[in-house]
Amino acid sequence: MVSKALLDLTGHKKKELIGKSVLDLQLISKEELPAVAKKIKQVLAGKKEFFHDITITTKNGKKLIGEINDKKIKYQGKDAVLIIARDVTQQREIERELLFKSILLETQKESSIDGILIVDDKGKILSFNEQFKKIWGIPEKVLKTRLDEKMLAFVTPQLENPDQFIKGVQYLYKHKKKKSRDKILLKDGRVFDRYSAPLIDPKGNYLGRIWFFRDITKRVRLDKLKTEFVSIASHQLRTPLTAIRWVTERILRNNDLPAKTREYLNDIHFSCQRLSDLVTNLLNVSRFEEGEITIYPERIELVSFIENYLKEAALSAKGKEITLLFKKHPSKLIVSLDRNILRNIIQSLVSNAIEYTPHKGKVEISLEKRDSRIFLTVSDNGIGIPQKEQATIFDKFTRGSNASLQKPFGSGLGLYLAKRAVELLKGRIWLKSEEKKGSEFFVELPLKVKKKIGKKPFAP
Amino acid sequence: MKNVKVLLIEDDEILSKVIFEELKDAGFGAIRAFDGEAGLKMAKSSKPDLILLDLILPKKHGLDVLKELKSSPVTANIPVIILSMLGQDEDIKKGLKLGANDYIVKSQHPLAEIIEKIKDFFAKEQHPEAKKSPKSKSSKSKRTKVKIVNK
Repeated sequence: MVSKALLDLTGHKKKELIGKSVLDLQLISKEELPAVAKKIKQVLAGKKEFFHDITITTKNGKKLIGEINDKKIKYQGKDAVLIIARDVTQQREIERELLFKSILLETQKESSIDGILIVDDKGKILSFNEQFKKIWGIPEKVLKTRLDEKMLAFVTPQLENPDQFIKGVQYLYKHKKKKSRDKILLKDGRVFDRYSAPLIDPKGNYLGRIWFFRDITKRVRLDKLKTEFVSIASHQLRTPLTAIRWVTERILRNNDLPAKTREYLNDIHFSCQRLSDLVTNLLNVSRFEEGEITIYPERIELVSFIENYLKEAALSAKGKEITLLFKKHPSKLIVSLDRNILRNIIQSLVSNAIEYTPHKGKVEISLEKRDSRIFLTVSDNGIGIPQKEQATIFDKFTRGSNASLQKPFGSGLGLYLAKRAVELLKGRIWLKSEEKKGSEFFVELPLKVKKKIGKKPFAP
Repeated sequence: MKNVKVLLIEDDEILSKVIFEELKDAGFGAIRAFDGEAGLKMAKSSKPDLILLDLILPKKHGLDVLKELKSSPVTANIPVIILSMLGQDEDIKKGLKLGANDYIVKSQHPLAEIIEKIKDFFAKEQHPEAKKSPKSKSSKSKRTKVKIVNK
């Protein structure tokens, strides 16, 4: 006998099935027939009930997955097998997808370098990975409780700021839909990056929260080392440099020096200054790379500031008999800018001008105040910058192709730093140049800048 | 400038020698120490007119020396000029807050400028109208008290 539902399922008519053997009809595939036949035999023999999946082929040739229940019954006085079939094609498909997703998630979770913890909306632990266990060192029995508070009790003693940590967690329990990101310091010196996000269903209901913990101790340590190294290096380098410079200055006071000795001493002094500037540049490049630079604005009288710098530059200009002019400027110009950054800009441009101008050349600096902006110009009649290279001359480690003829060793950092320094003060820098004729560098700056606290100040 | 005693506290041998000789050539009475503790001792015993204080020092950091100088009545009024290797150091700001009068960035200036700065400093001391800091004491600014006696 067959039920109507079965006829609907397979697409047969009652008369097509009645009297036929279930094994003969092409309902069941050849491969599965022996197993089905065996089960029917076993059911008839009184063995047991079966639940299993088989592939059913309908009259139209469509394949379905049927969940089959085979039971022994009595039908019209005889032993018979009741076969109940349910079309579970869709269900099995969904189950397969779910399984796949589950495997995917599990693999992701376990392969992640982050410690992952998932809690439900009541704070009960839903899931965590090996890495999470490892980084917090939580024992199995605590994890088995699946209780958020038990875990917290294990975690908080390891922290430098347990109160801050707990406050953070409580905040998120109150503000369930928020994401969070912070750093956690542990008593043993480790540093974790902690990130969390809420689990929200399509209806907007809060289901729980997922936490990620990443051990960033190495990275933090490396950053610190780098900063310390640069700081120490620059300090340690400067002491002997200052010593060489000052000793040379004292010797040069002696008016009885033979001309050649004086010349060589000037060379030593000049080289020293160059080295000092290079150290400063390297230090500043590394600081720019690291991130924010602090700006300390000070009240500066710009005209005398430039004049003072030019007194220093005069030494190197003298050696090449270059005329240093600073004629076009107001009598006084008060600004509120960062002294070191300003000095770096002026020094980069003026020293470049002197450097790349041949013997007996001219370097002129002019200063103008216009519409509450400052305009500084440094011009020279030196080797100039080839047209094609003018757009990229401010890039890091970029020197004009003609530069090495005039100066064999240059860092290619001077203009890069000058530009970044100008931009830091919210100004502009640009140039006009012609090869073999000379260059003009223009800097526009505001009269005032705001104090800005960064990680480090600009090195003078 | 005669009889003006300057105490130099600087640990680098060569820098110390050079500054020391420069000071003497300029006519200052110069004495020097090479570490923080020795510098403090010398300041207390010799009571100089000015202290040039390096920040990075062995045995005691320049800022700690400064703190102690300012908290001891014997040395609290001695003006201090900080010598730093790095300008715009957070330490310079701290030093100025602790009571240092000025600072010089060694790596930034020719040696002669240090002497200029010291000379300028004393010139301001001599002429109180030109003084920047209202706190520094000078015998010239004594006010005569007028006593009204009822008789």
